[in-house]
Amino acid sequence: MGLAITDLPTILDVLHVSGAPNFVVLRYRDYIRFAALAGTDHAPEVVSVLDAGGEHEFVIVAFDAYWRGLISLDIVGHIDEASYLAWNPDVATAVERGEVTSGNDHYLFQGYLERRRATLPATIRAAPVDLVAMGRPYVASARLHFSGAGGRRGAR
Amino acid sequence: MNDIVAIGDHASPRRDVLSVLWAITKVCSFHCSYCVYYKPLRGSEFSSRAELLRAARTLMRLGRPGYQITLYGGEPTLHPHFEDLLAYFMTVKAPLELRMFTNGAQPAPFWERVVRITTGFHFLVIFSLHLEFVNFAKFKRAVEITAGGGMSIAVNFMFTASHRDKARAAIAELYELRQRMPFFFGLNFPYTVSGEMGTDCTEEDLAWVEETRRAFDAMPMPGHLRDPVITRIVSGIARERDGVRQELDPEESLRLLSEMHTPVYQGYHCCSGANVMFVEEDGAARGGVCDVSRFLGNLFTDSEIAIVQNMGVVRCTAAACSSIENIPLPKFRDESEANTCMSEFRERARDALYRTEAARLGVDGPGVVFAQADRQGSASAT
Repeated sequence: MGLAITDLPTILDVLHVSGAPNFVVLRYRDYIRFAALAGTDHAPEVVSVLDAGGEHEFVIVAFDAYWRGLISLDIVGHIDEASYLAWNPDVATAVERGEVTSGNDHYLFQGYLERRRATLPATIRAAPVDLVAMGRPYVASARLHFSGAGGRRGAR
Repeated sequence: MNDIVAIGDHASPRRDVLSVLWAITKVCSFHCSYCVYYKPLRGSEFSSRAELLRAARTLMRLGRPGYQITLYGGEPTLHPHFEDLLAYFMTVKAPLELRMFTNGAQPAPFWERVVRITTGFHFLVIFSLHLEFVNFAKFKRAVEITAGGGMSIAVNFMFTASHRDKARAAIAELYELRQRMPFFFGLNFPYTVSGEMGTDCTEEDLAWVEETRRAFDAMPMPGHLRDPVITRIVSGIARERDGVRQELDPEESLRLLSEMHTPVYQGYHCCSGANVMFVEEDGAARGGVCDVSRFLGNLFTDSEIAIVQNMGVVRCTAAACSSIENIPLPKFRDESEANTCMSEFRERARDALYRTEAARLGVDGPGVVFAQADRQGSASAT
């Protein structure tokens, strides 16, 4: 399942319980768009829907369920690598040391959920039919990543 | 019954159609001994217009491929915002079959407004005739206005032996009316508390009832009208004999179901909320018309997402099934089979909800723009 990096919902807040991330707060319309595009296998169940002015405004999902949905997706598109590394020197250091393959991978599997600053592309372009032949230039497979470097980072 | 391993609407094309039984108020102007609900009008409170419409909107946002919504009570027409609810349902785009049970006690102008509001829509009405309380002239006028207005209506006459003389006079008038305009007709006996029907009826009463049924059935009915009493009973039955499982065809399933005068599903694992919902006057929604069914949420306050997520399997403990409306609910002897079925229902329900909501919010556009020509370029950064 492919999803554009620009379709990842903006994380409004991550709520912690005993120091650990437990819940993610999203805008309702962002969540619905994500769920409709990604499908029910990847959309986390909702813990709560918060209304404002008689309309659904925010949803709260479980952090763990959201993470599990994300890692099973193929995320299409790249953030701007240079600016991400500039804004996040700890990531730049990790990339230099070979602990992380790229700033983009870091963003997808950690930085996004940590609400780190990144520049997203205006438009995502990819060729769906021959991604393998193209050497996956635009696709970061979360599943593959998790089985490699991501898993070593202690991801659940 | 011993060899039946599965019952319910889990394989037919109509399986995801949601049947909703909605008691919008328990208030009634009658007090029939055989009715499950009653609250006096005086001093009773009703849900607000906003609550009622929110509940209806929540149901529609579930995005089901079809709905069969039955308004009842109490007397649904006594709800002060009944007409607002009716008007709302006229605006929805989802495939909707709306019907209502009423005692027909409202005055003529009310029914004239109902005909006006529902013009162009198949609003099915079942008028329950209770001679012990009814103002028959008013009742007959309600039937005349609605049937004469082109609506599909039915008169469901509850015969009690204590009112046999009034019954004969009323039937004579209804028969005369039926000759002038089409409506469906049923003549039934109320259940007593102990489940008996036709209490105190004489042989002559029973013969008269049969004769009356035949007389009404013999009258021609325009093909475009639909019998409001017919519920969604289509239901597959699977049985297992000598280790061989057999799916019965609909006709055979219906025949078997009709033999179960008091259906008992005790011990079965029921997919509560899959395709049947029971809504009470305070907005509480349950996944079936019984106490065993799961609480799905409150339609006045909870989101449609919660309603779908709370669907689940329950083990039936009831000595007898509470309602004919529960028939479409998939029920299995085997718990794991029920869990698999429920899981498939939930995933389809979630998918339908997300797609409906995405379309409503205008956020259902493609997430990825595929462009072969630009494959060599890097993603443009803002």
